[in-house]
Amino acid sequence: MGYNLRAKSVLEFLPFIVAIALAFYFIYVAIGWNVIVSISKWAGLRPDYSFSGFQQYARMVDDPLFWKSLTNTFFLFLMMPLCMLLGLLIAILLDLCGKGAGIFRNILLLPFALSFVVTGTLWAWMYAPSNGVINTMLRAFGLESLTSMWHTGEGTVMWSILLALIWQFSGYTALIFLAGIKSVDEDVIGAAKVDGASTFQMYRRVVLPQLGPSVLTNFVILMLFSLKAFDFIWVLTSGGPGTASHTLAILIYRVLFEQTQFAYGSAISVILLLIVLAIVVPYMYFSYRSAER
Amino acid sequence: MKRGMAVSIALAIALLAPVVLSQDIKSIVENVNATGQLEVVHWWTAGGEKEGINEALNYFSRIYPKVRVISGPIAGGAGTNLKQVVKTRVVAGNAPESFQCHAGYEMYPYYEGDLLYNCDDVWSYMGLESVTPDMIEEICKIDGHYYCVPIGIHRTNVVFYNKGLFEAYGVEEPSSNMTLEEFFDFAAELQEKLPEGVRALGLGDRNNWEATHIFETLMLAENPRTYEKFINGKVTAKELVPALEAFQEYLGYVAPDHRARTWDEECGMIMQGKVAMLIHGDWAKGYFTANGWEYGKDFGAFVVPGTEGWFGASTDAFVRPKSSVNHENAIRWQATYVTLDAQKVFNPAKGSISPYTHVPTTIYDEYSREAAEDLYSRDIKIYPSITHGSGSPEQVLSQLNVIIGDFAQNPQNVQGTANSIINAIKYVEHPVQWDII
Repeated sequence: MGYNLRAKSVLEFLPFIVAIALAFYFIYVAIGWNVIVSISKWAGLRPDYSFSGFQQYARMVDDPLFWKSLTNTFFLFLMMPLCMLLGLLIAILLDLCGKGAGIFRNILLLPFALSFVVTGTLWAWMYAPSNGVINTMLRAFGLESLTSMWHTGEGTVMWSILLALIWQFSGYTALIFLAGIKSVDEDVIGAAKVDGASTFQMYRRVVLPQLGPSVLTNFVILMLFSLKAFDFIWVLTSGGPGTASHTLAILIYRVLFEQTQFAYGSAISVILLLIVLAIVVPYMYFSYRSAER
Repeated sequence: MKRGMAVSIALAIALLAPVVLSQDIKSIVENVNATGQLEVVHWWTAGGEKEGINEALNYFSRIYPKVRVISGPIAGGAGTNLKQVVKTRVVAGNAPESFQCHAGYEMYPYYEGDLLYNCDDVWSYMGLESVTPDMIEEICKIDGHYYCVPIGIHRTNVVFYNKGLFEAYGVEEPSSNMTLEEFFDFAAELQEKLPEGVRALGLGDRNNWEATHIFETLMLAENPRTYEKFINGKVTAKELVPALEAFQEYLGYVAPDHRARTWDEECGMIMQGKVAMLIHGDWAKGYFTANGWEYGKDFGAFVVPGTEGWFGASTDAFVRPKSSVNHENAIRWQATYVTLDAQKVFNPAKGSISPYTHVPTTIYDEYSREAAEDLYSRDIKIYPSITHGSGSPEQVLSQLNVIIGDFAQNPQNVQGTANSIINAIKYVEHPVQWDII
């Protein structure tokens, strides 16, 4: 009897054990391995795990390209407030829209459903200074002064990337906000209406204060994307002109695979990991705490 | 006496070794009942090149029908994505039987890690040395041994132009019978006659390397000695200035939004009549012909002025990594694609030129025939392309692409750019010393 019970509980836990074992190996062992490589003497393609100290980290401090890439990575954080503001506005409009909301919801989600390679190529065509649709339209409306070099100009490239990413992510953030708005208790909204609250007051006083979890989810998703942004930028600009749109992910790719400097590339990856952890750990802590309540 | 005997035995082994080796490879290559797999990783996915590699692999399958052939295409111009996949697999000890690589420095990280088999066996058994131009042999060697076997070659120092545009604006078609300075004068005259929005010269450098390609060609046109010093890591900032000034002049005739386009989109601009001439590699010919243009009728080509007598080589080859499952099939693969029949089907389909002089030039179209005749000519000097992985270490190329990409966007600071290039070169070891002159 006791044996059967034990066998049964092992069988019940088996899927979890397998999942945990796979996650442990492919995520945590890989992270540990990456940290070891970053403090190793590994140069070239032949692994060499002998300890070299923290010289790769010291090298990073003196590498202007690292700092530029870090600055650009943080620049993409601007995406968070802008996407969230636009997403919230769209969510409220969709909420007010009533019957047609379904169609708009699908249309707005479409950019997020597309691969970054597709949208990167699309924006590269739209931004093309001489014959791209944006400059062409600006010229057609007599707004020649607003035409720009967009993703090909050193001063405008990061703003161009930001604008394209806001386009891609706003629909998604709107949906998360919309789900949050829809989950607000109907009775509370009904009570507000009975008390004579205007639409603006209702959203301002009743709905918005209850969107905390949606804000947090959007915040983490957008921040994590901006930290690991690679494919979209690689397709749109290859990190250029020069190094103007290098982010940490672009720099890691170039150092690892173009220059075969595994130890240095791994050291930069560790820094990126630490930044991600600094964001994810508090998020998880607050999520679990609010779930416990 | 004993010592003398030992020396004799050692000598006998040394003398017999090549015989044993050639017998080994003979039995490997002649075993048409070989089994197992052959995974060939390459970056040929576009029209023309895809057909080329398929032809070569089909040819292999006809000879070794029991070998399971796996074609592993990884899209991404000039192998940018392939390098990422292959390096990861090689480091993990899970390499394919063979993968595509530019001959020259691109092989070096694998060689340095002792991750490649030397290919002396195939070169020797197939008698390739007697039919390969000397410089191409050198490009395939590291420390006196072959580490790859070339399959096709593209010429990099070519100007392509839209013939209709010259006719429409009454300008005599250009040719390589001029100096670089005269070429720029010609571009200036042409620019004056062209309407607004049409440019005398082209560049589409969204991926950076397209700009480096033009820079390296102009560097050779300015002074081959500078080019040689560059690839040997011995160039000075002062010596780079003329090449950068030439590139600066070139950029003066290019549309300001050149960075918005890739090389193929720039070729499209030539076809649309928005750009008159472009310095590029002769895979551009493949683009034009694949889009319905005819050489000599719709577009023309000539060697970049100042590089007459030179052949810039982008050498496509395959290597044999050590951690593959079935190394013997990799030997069979190399020994197969260098045969006359395989070369005859691969190169015309791919649009490249065979590295082997015994392949008749009659198999090519008019453009490739002229290029092949140049490559096989005894008077031609071949130089390894920096941009296409042969001439300089990958760390140099990676940084050069960024520096030149930046210069192409802001071509004011010649001296600063020259200094940046020197900084990128001076700390990188240059174990291969080229002698191109």
